Amino acid sequence: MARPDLIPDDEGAGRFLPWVVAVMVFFAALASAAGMSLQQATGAWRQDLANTLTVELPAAGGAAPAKLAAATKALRETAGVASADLLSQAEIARLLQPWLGGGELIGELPLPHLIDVRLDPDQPADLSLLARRLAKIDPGLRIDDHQLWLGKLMRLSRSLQWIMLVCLVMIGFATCAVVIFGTRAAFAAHQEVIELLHLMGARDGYIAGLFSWRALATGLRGGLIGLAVTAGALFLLSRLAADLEGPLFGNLSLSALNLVSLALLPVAAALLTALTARGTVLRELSRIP
Amino acid sequence: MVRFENVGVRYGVGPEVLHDITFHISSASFHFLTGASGAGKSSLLKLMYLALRPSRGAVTLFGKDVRNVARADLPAIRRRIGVVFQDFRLLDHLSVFDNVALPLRLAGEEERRIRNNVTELLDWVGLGDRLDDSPSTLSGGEQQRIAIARAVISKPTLLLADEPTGNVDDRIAHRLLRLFEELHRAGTAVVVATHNDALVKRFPHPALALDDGGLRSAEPPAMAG
Repeated sequence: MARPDLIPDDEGAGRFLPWVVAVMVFFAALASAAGMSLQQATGAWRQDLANTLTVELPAAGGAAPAKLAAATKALRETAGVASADLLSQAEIARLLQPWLGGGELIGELPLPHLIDVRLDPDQPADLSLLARRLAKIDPGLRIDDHQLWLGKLMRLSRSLQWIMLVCLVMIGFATCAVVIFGTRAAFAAHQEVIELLHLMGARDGYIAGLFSWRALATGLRGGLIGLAVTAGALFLLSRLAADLEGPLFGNLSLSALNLVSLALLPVAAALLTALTARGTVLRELSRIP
Repeated sequence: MVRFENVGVRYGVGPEVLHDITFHISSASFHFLTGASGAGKSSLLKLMYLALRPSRGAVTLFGKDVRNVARADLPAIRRRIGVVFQDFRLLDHLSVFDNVALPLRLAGEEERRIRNNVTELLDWVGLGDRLDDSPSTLSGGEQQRIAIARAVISKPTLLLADEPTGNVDDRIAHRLLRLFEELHRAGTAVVVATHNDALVKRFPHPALALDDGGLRSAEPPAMAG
């Protein structure tokens, strides 16, 4: 004979708990996915831009081909520089195409001359020496090591990740509040049963366990519903992001570890629900002599 | 086994519903707890089954002053006490079998042993064919027998019954008292709260008589059963 449920099935606030947990897990998963995706992207951006420089000569100015050839030669002769390649105007136009389109506008714009420089990661280049050499060729030659842009991007990315983390914490607090409210309501609804168990010698932990096991199952059920909805939403978002052409969105993706973390969210939600229910019941029981 | 010393009880800031209660009940004794309605019988029983704490004085159960017992140790004391509540307090969402099995399950007994003991006891109280029924489908007398079966299934050291004969006729009341006497002879200390003076006169056991929250007659040497 199977052991019966000593606490009757809830027909009150508890009925809605799985759906509340589902919504919370959905928001938590979206926030987590956004945070992890950003982290992944910033890592990729940093990787892409590390050990690279761009040397720029503004469009205005004469004798550009000779100066550019001299600059490229000087770069290649500098210790720590792995390669230095002058970009053709066609290549520069292709780089600008995502922002300016492929029309005639690009051809009419005074595009700067660019030299793409790759640095040897094992042999740090002396950038101040390099700057002095280039200045001798033409004071207008400018070195861009992308650090300013990368730094701003990183700060933005980190700020967004903190906001996601705050969102997660707030979602956790909201979930706890809902569980506490629901558990108190269930406790009040079944007060007579609980008091009887208490008077018969049931330990507080045993009674709390009756609630927390049920909350665990409820949390897991709600969490899985929330995760399923999140999976659909992320799939849709990934399809939409794939349609966007651009270097930024290209890096927005989730690793296998990220996906495993997301898959564990229902478990985390179930544990949070169960532990909160347990704590609430223990607190309520402490008021019974 | 049970010792009260100058015990007083008040609910909130109201007057004392019990005052200066002092008595001693030895093991394997049988006592009536008498008094008019509102005399404090239920409050006194609540003190004995630890549903209530005294506002003053000392309550000692099984040699332990309950004021000094850690909360974690109270369940073990409660499991030694069987209670027949005045309103039975049966759980309608459980079957008759599961209601009676409750104390054994809380004590962590093996399921096979629970099945044997509960089935045997319910046969004995004449409800062997109602194991799977809900208590709400049974008569008042049958519900009372379930409540008594639940109180005695774990062979408690102390059995407390609050007005167990309040809802039954004299014939059933006598049968119940005979049942309690059998338990008493088997070694259980029994305290039966009742306002049925005729019943008390027919069964020769000492009585703790409550009157307006005070103990009118409590003669410790004579009370030891």
